Amino acid sequence: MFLAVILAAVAAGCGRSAAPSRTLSAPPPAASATPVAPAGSPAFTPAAPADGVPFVDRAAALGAVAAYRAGGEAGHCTILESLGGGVGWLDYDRDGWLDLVAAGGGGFADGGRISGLATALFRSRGGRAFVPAAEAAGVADASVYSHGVAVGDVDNDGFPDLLVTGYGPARLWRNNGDGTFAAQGAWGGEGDARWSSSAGFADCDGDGCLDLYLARYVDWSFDNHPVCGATKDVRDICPPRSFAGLPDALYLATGDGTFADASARAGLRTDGKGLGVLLADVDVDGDVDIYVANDTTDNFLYVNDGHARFAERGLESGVALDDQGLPNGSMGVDLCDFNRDGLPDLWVTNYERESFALYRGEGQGQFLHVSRRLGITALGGLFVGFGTACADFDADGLVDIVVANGHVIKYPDASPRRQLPLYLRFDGTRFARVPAADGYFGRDHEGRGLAAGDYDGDGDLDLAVSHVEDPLAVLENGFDTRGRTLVVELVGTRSNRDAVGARVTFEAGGETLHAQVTGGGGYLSHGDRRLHLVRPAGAGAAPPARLVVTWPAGGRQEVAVPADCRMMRIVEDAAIAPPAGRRRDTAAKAPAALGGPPASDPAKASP
Amino acid sequence: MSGSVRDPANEPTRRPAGRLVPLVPLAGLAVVAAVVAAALVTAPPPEAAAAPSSELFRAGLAAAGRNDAATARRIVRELRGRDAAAAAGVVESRLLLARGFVQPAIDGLDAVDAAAADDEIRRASLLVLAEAAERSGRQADVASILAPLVAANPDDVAAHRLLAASLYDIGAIDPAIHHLRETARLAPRDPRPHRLLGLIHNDYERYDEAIGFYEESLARDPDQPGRDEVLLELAACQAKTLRHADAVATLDRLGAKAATGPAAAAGSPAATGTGTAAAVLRAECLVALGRIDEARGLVTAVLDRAPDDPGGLVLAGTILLEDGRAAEAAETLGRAVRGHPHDYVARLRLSQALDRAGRADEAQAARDAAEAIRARRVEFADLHREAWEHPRDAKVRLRLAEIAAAMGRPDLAAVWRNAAAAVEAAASPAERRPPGSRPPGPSQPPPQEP
Repeated sequence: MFLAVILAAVAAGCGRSAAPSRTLSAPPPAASATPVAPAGSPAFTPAAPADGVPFVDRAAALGAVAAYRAGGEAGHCTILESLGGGVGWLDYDRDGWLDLVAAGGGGFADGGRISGLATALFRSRGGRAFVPAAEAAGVADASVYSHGVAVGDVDNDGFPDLLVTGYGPARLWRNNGDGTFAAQGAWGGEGDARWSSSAGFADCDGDGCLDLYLARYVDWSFDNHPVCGATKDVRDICPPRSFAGLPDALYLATGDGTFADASARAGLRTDGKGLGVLLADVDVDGDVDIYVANDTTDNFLYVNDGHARFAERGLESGVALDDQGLPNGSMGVDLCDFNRDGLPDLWVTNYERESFALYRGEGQGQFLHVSRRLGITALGGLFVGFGTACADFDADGLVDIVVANGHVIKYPDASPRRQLPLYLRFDGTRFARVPAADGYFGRDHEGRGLAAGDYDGDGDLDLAVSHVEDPLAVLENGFDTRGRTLVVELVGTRSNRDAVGARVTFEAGGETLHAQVTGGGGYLSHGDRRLHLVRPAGAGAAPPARLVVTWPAGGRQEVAVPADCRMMRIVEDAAIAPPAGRRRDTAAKAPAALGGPPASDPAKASP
Repeated sequence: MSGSVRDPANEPTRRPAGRLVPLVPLAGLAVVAAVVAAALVTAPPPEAAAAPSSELFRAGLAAAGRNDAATARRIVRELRGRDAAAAAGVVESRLLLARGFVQPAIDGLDAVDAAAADDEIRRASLLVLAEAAERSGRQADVASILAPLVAANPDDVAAHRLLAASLYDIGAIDPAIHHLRETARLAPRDPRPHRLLGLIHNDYERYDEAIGFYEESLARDPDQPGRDEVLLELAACQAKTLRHADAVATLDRLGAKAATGPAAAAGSPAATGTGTAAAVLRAECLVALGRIDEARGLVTAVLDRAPDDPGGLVLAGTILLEDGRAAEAAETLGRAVRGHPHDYVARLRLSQALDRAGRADEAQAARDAAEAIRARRVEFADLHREAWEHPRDAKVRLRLAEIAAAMGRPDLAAVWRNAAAAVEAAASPAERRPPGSRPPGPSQPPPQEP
């Protein structure tokens, strides 16, 4: 899950001029479809070019030592080995500090039997260290060759639960609230062993409980293992077009702690090869839609009618294909609002020789592929992009994008197997890659899952990255963001407790930012669900800043934000009556206090 | 994990500008080919005719090949005067072929006493026969004529060249590539093999390899005939691999002579640096490089010159759409589609513009039409790969021809139909006439000498 921070410029809107013109002369600034900061606005200015990309890998020093294993040494050249693993940030013990989970992967035992490796879980010690905790927590399961992690409070008890995907039944782990998890054997999808990749939780039918979307990949097995080769004599991993796709699944919460397969009722297509999934309100109509990044087939956009019945509109919406009308090898996905017009944009990482895709939101659920115009295509075609996150990492008011890259086959000829990660900064007009001479971003990796999260509690977003056959990285954000960020945790009571689907506007310093709490996102991974908002420079105390939350259950809540506030938790006001007929009540239990950093809590302000 | 699909509607012609061999329809080659080929592999008779003047013979072939009739006929008379009838006959046939009289060329070779001729004459006869077969679409005959020749003479560059062209024409790509590589090895200054290798790999979306071949072709002869076409194809491949700066640099070379000296002085083709295709490609690259205003100016200039240029209209429509000028974008893209109804990107972009302009029903219709085109593109791409993997499959080639025709590419459809026919002919031994029999129909008499 990644949070979209959206700034709507006050003075210059989208201003789509319909005046006819016989030339392609550039439109006047007010009519530009890509406005950023309003003319003359001092609130947000692009940060001066940074000296490199100041993310420092602290994994070893913090004790978060783990590596994803894919089993490539067995020499089978299976496509299974190419996906890699995901990482997730979650505060599973509710001490206020983000803990870290990472899929373990797997291998091949004698005779080609597919085996799993244990999931890694690290408990934070005040943001200064990580302690291995998978065994103690009961999640060190190695029954499945694992790929993805997804986090959601499926029972609304305040403790995040965990889903692990892979080559076999997806495993759901219910948080006991005491630092341990219990495997929920009969959760509703345990009988389906088809190969799953990314997953995400969101309340799709508005009943206040999180539902689950599970992306599935292709029908590979050792019984369906063609020989593909770099040359006639050298075997390599087969491309996805060598296999048929597997159908994704939508599981709706039943209310009794289990899920029911609602894929057919929901209208899901069966011809995808899903690798990335994002659950967000992309058409800003108050319900959660689903975007699926498929590998070599059209990407899907499932538009929700509010009752978990979806119409797949990827093609009509302009987000299924690239600007040449071709399906791409899509892997990672995230939501952002790069042009701060209040309309969500979609970002997708793709295969080599394919531009990463930036789909600009045009309103009414329509998008336009603008990678060429926005400098994305100029990155070239040598990256195979996987895990990704869009966020304002340097707190300059403009979105940045990070991508973990790495090839998928053993003998690539166009681009190398190990690749540099990318840090892209938006300057108000185009994205540009920020070069890094050294550090994590200056070295190549075989990158896969990536998740953004503020593990050290300093208000900026750090990163965790999983690699194939290399230790995972925990990257401390070194940008100077002091005093500019506001971290907001939303707690649903009538809405799902995680508040997935909530939309927020943050008004400060004459500017308005828009954000959403999303489900899924990235690649095989789960990011910090808290909103990281950036205050305009010099916003001051007057006029007072305020947050307006539109909850998934339909209520609206306004909260004043003190000038010196850096972190706040907003609890959905139960006194606000939701629109009639929307949902049934769910009781939200208060979490057991396990300690944690203080958080200002002015959330009970009257609407 | 790439899903790109070649757009046959925009696919270049499968024949390169610098043709390896000319094409002329022909019939009835099998007879002569069989006789001459048989002669090649048998030992020459102990009392062969007196060897002709080899240099005169070669000069005659060269003159005939460049259609220098006066010189060639003079040499023919000289050779006949020396009682070198076989040599004279071959030169005469070569001249007839160069002038387009294919059947008379064959008939003339009928009269060549191949059994008495020496190796060089027999070889030249086979090459003339093979070229005639190639021109008539009898690619299978080309292979049967030249296979023994190449087996006996692995360094026969002319044979490799002819074989490569004929195999390419029937979509037998792997052997075509082999013979192209041999041609390139044997003729290190000839740019054409690498040009065709580039085209082949371009056609099959192997753009990185295509780039390498095009660059080698240009390195061999920077001022080759059709140089600008090669540069444009190279730039297009660079753009497809997202190397936009490289593509612009390549386009900057259009229209300028690369070398000095005799080659350059001999003349490059007319500069086409301002051709619309090059200009549109340049504009696309400029957009990617952030030089939007330059791109706008370039596209505007293209459309001023060529208001219906499809590439220009699509790019202009795209820019308008990105600028938020949906109504104008729809009008521009509509023009593109009306002029080029099989252009997939134009249709798709039009549907987006119509959606933005609030014309939902028309947008849906455009989208449906685009999807129909896409289905054909996908099938074409799949069959294209299959044709490479199965060089003897006539059905695949026929289906490719059907799809190409449906996509508004009759030229491409003809190529694939010919390929299917050639493959079928090669697979039908009953079609071969027995040695000594004449082909049906009247044969065209040779032209009278002035």
